[in-house]
Amino acid sequence: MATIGRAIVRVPRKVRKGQAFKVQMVITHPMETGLRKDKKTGKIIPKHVITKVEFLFNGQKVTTIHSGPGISKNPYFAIMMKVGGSGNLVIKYEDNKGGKWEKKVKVNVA
Amino acid sequence: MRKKAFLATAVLAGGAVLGTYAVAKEQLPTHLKELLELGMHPGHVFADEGSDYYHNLKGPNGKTCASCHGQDGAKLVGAFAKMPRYYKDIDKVADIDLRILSCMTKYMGYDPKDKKFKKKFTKKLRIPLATYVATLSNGMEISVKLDDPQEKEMYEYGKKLWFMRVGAREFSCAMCHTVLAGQRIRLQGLPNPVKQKSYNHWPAYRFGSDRMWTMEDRVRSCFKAYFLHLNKWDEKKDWVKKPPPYVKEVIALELFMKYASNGGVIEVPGLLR
Repeated sequence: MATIGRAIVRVPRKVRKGQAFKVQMVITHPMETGLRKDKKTGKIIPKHVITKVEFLFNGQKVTTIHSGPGISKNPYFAIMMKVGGSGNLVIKYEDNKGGKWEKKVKVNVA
Repeated sequence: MRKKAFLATAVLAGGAVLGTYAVAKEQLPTHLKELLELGMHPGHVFADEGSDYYHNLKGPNGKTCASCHGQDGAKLVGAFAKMPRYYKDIDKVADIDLRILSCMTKYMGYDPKDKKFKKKFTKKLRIPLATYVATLSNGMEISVKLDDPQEKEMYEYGKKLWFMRVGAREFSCAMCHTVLAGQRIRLQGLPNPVKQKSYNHWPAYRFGSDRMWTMEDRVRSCFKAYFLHLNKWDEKKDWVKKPPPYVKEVIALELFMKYASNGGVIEVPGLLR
């Protein structure tokens, strides 16, 4: 199993100024809904889902995704965005059990 | 007549070449097809994790994988295309899983009898590392050669196992994947690894179980699901269990399938249902 919370983010290598581009990411996470039962013991498996994904560009908020138990295991997220100049895109995501992670990528404007 | 027969065989051969990963892709459900078109799926996270272990995981000797094989896997490019093959230093025919394990025990200083390490290896380290090494030879052709006598012997053994009917259901690999290939079991299309060169997308991410599988896992779980136990294993203990990892039987079957798919272009990590 891949470790919980590990993610990859992909942006185009070079971006034009003012042009919309796609930011893609995949997070490894079990995304337990809290409704399933363990087949062996009969007990309910506790809920464990990603609740919030936040996109920040140079400290400025781009967008926030509020996710919940309706989303699949190892989810894929993508947004379209525009930038005025080069900078760092920081993605913060957290789950309901207190896990917090951060991922940083560089966006190069040609 | 002869000309017609020749034409027919030519068409058949053409069909066989076409049906590589393309067949598997056609049979995917629509939401997975979309994910493939986007060019990013959870399999890539495993490759990323593998590259992390490759550069940063230190054994008891203080060596990493990168200290022998070079930064970014410089010396491992194209290695996966030739596997499984005979290695002099361990005196065995090894597939990718066994090769990584023996590298870790021999050169990185892990103890091969340490149960904790074995558990950590099979559950955590094996699949990401294997995926990472496999991605290094993306876009290359599979070229397994049978130069060594041990390899030839293994190949013959694998061929024998492929057609041998064993177990409680008297099944063989060839029943599904040669005789009934192209048809379906429930919704699942049956590939023909020997004709279609369908080894090229392994290791693959499977949505059914939500994890990455190497070919070793695939063959072993087939052994379990169809009760393909062999006489030499303990019948009461092993007949509904998976065979022990890294045994000769599994590697022989892998060698047989991969040699048959020589010439296929590698595209990993694959995506299957």
